[in-house]
Amino acid sequence: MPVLADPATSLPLVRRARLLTGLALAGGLLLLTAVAARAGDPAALAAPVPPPSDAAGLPSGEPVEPLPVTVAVDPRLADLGRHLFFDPRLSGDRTLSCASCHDVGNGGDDGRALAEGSAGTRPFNTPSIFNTALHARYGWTGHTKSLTEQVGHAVEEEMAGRWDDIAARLRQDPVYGRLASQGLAEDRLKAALAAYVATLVTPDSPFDRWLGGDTTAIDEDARRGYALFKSYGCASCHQGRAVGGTMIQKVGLFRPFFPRRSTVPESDLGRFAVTGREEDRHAFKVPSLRNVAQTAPYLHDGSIQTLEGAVRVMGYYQLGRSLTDGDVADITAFLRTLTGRPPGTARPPVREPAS
Amino acid sequence: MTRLRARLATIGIGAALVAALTVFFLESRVDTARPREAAAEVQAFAQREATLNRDLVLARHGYLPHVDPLVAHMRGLEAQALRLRLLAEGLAEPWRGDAQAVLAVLEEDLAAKDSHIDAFKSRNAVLHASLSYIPVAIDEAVRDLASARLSDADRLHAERAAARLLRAAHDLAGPRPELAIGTAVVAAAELKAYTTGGSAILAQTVDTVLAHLEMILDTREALDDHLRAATAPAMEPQARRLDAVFSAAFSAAAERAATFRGLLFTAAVLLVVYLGAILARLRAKASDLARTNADLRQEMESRAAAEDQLAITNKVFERAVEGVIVADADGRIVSVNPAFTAITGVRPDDAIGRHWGGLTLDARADQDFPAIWRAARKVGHWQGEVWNTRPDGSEYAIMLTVTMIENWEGRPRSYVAVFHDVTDAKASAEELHFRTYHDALTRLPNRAMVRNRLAMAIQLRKPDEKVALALFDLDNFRTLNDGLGHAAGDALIREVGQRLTAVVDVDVHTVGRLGGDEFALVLRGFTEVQQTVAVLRQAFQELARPLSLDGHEVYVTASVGVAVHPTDGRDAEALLKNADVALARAKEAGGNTFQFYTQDMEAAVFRRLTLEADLRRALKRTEFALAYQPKVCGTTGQVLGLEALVRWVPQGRPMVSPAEFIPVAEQTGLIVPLGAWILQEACTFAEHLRRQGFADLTIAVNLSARQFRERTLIDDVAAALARSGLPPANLELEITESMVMGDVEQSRATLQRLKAMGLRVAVDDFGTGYSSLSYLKRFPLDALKIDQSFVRDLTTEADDRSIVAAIISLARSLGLKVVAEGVETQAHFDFLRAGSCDVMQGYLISRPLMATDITAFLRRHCDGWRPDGHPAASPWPTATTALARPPAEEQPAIA
Repeated sequence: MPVLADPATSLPLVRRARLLTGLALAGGLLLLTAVAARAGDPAALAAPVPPPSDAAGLPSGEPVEPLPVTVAVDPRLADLGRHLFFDPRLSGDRTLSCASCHDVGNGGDDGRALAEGSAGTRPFNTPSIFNTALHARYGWTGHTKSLTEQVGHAVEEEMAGRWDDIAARLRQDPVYGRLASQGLAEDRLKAALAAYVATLVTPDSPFDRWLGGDTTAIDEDARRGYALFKSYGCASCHQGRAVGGTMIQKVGLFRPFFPRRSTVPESDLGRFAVTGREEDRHAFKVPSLRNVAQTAPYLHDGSIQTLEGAVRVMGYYQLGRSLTDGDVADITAFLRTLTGRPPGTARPPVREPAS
Repeated sequence: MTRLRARLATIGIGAALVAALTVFFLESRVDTARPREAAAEVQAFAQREATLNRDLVLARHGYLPHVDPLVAHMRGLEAQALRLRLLAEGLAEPWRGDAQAVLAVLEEDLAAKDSHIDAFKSRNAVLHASLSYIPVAIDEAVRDLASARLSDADRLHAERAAARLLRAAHDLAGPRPELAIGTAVVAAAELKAYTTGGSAILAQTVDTVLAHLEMILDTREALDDHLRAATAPAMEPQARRLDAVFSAAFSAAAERAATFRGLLFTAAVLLVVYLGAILARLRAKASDLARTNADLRQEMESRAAAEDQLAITNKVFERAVEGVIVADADGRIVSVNPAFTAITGVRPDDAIGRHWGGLTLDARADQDFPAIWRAARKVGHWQGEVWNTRPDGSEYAIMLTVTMIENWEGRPRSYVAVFHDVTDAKASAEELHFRTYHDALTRLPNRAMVRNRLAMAIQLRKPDEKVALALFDLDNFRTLNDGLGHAAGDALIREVGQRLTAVVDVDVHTVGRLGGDEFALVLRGFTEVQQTVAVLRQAFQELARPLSLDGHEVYVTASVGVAVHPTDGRDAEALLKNADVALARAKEAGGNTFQFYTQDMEAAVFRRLTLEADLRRALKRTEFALAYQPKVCGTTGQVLGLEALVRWVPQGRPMVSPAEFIPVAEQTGLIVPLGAWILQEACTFAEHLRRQGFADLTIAVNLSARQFRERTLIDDVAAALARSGLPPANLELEITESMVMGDVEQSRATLQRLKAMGLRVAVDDFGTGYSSLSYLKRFPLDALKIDQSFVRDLTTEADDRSIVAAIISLARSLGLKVVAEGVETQAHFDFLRAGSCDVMQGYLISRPLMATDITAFLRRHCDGWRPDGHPAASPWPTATTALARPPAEEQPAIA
């Protein structure tokens, strides 16, 4: 022990203790931050489309009600979805985008009798993508229960897309770097597409305006047609804001419809192919009649070319009666008033499919 | 090694405590939002399910226009189930497992419910489609009946059956369809039976009706089954179970958090204790070190300080301005510093080894160095001021401090003497003292000093001795000062001071300057007043010598007032006051003289005060009157004019001399109204004479200095002329030299305005004041009046003769008339006439006459005054000279 103790030796001891305390506190703070950052809302991705409100304005007592003007979704998510919707990189061979079959400029379908997927012709007619947020089931067989599921199905089955590949492709594109700051995981991509599709509503049709009190919005024929539509029982299935889309119904209730044709027999089985239940044989999703004038040809296999034909077929097989020409004319006049304002969607910059 | 391990352990404990704190903190948090959220979700789920069930029943009975609400509720339930699952995932085990199990059942039930609802919806649609269509179809069937080929009875039966069917169909849609079913079936069968063979169309219509009825019947039961199935799985218990799980989980979490809070607190306390312990240890260690260090430092410092001190002391010793002497116990000088040599002029070699008491060469008796040394040895200390002489003989003063330094036994070890030169400081102090008591200009004692000396002289006087105070005041100093400038005035004052100093022995007597042109002489050590007079005469002689200032030869005279102790005052104050009174009297006497104080003077002062009061009263009562003294032409004897002279005859008292009351009027300002009155009275009288035929007479009025400076002068003159009607040319104003010399420009302006009015202006008492020819030239004057003092001694004094001759010649050259005053004898008259004096005035011609007498005088001499012409009319030469000689104080009406 030196007589004159070095005062410097006591200093590092204090300093070291302080350093340790500081480090420990800093570590604690980091932990806290991490814990705080973990908090997030996974429900946002799980349910990008809010459940349709059960009370759309005042109950009118009418089986058909006006469409909502907007659907509330996360706008950032929907914007990402908009880019994805028009992006052919979502298909396996980069040839198809969602918009290839769902032409948002023209009825939300492709105008073909049967859809053309990545693997060739599909056994079903392409349904319109409009107002689908109000549907209860998707696909002619009602095989999916939500838009998120349905966009997954469409990309995977119809477009032969793989989400990992898609994410890898999109990551190259700076546009997505900006749009998808939270990543390009499958959940997010599907949620984005679903959110965008949910925004595709067609409000303000003449019929909605008539329901809203504008007595001159539709003519006498259409009004008579709507009365017949209700009294003949059409409105029992084609009802609600989407005028359909909310239930499954057997085709050929009064008279057997199948096996009238055999062009796509596998699809004629209907929901039976999904559930395997005998009662679901030849059962199909009741399609929405919104914009029905723009979605010819009709039925699940696109076998009926005209709206009048479809009305007659429905009356005969589903309601058990032969409609007169006058009835058909009135009902189609009514159905034509269901064409609304197409969603104002701006197509993002065109992407050339990779060669 | 041990220390290292201990240190590591300490650090380890600290780190562990901090880590524990962090963990405890994180774990002690309670999420209060989550339990509420979970409870709300469960509640909402149950509520929505109930709503959905209600809507299903409503739909079943056709009260729901469309199934959108069912879809919305189902979607809502699914979304809520998802949120509940997320909440459940956030729970801790085992509650998570429990919650997930409950949720699995719930989701399964939900899926089953969904499936049943799907089936329900499609069947319900069919049912209601048929229910709504049957009436239409029956209607059509009845219409077809009319055209069918049926018997009337069949048709009637068919119609009745149709009606019953219609009613039954209506009931089928109602709340209790069971009863209607049978009726409907029977009615349908009858309808079918009675219509058979009617027509193809009718048969088709009826078939449709039957098909729909069949559809209703087919669908109804399955529909109700599905409805039951959809509403049956009561999810409420599941929800309640879920709620219970959530509450249990959250309350467990809260308990856990509480535990951790406890731990957190404990850890915090431990940490504080730990830190406290560390700090205490550190402090203990630090203070140990500090003590050791302090000891060492102190030792080092004291050594260094001692060295420093030594160095500093040495430096101070060497460089100090103060001289230092260090002597041993016996007083033998051991060392001295350079300042010592510088101050005392003694070289170190000459000092060291000698007794320091021997340094003194010429100290005062009570402060010689041996005495100081003795004092220092006795009390250990001495301080004081000491005068000493250097080897070269010059004197110096030092402030000396001697300190005895004791050894450890308390006995003298050495002596240190420190001193500094205070010679200059003392000189400054003396200078300050000198300035306080001396006049800066003359370096003579000032008023305070004179008073002191006077007081001292009175105090120290021997019984038979007297003390005299003589106050000198220079005559006309102000005029000299204004005329020649202040520098010249200062030089004059200095010269006077020197001359007075030369007269007396200043070691015994005192010459002082009291201020301005006032000097004082304190004379002591004499027994006879005559001795004083001798000194004063000497002083007068001294002052009378001509003085050269700025190339001008100037003569100085003084008025002197003397007061003598003990007769004229007991103390200095009384002497000063009475000498002042005497001085005033000397001045009144015309200056250039001295006046001893007498008791009468005091009476005179008193009289003056009463005079002022009387004068004021007199002005109000008009106790004044004017006398007029004629002026005649020197050659023709024609009466040219009259000089107005004021007279005051107070009621019931003898006349008061103008020499007495005019100065008082001047001092008090009463001269202004008095002057205005004189002007008016004189003008009025002159106009009165003019009207009586004496048209060429000029009336002369004297202006006082104060009146001349007054602004109202012009107005007063104009008013007097206007009221009297006297032509301005008949009015002459007499002024004195001193009046116009004050503010030359102002005077010139005033005179020019008076001249512009058409008046004449004469300078009175010419020759007595300080006259500047250049000024004289610049003033618009008409005449000069030779002062009577020159005329009086004309016949005896050669000087006066030449002065009068010079004045006459001067007036000639300036184109001015000359008036001689005080012409009392024929000899005067003859001399002046020979010298071509224009106008004569004096007792030879006439004494001043009152208004009534003057008219007679004028009548008598209407064709000119002759000295030998009318002996009876005038007080004539020798016979009446003694009687007619004017009193000494006779002066013009206004001085």
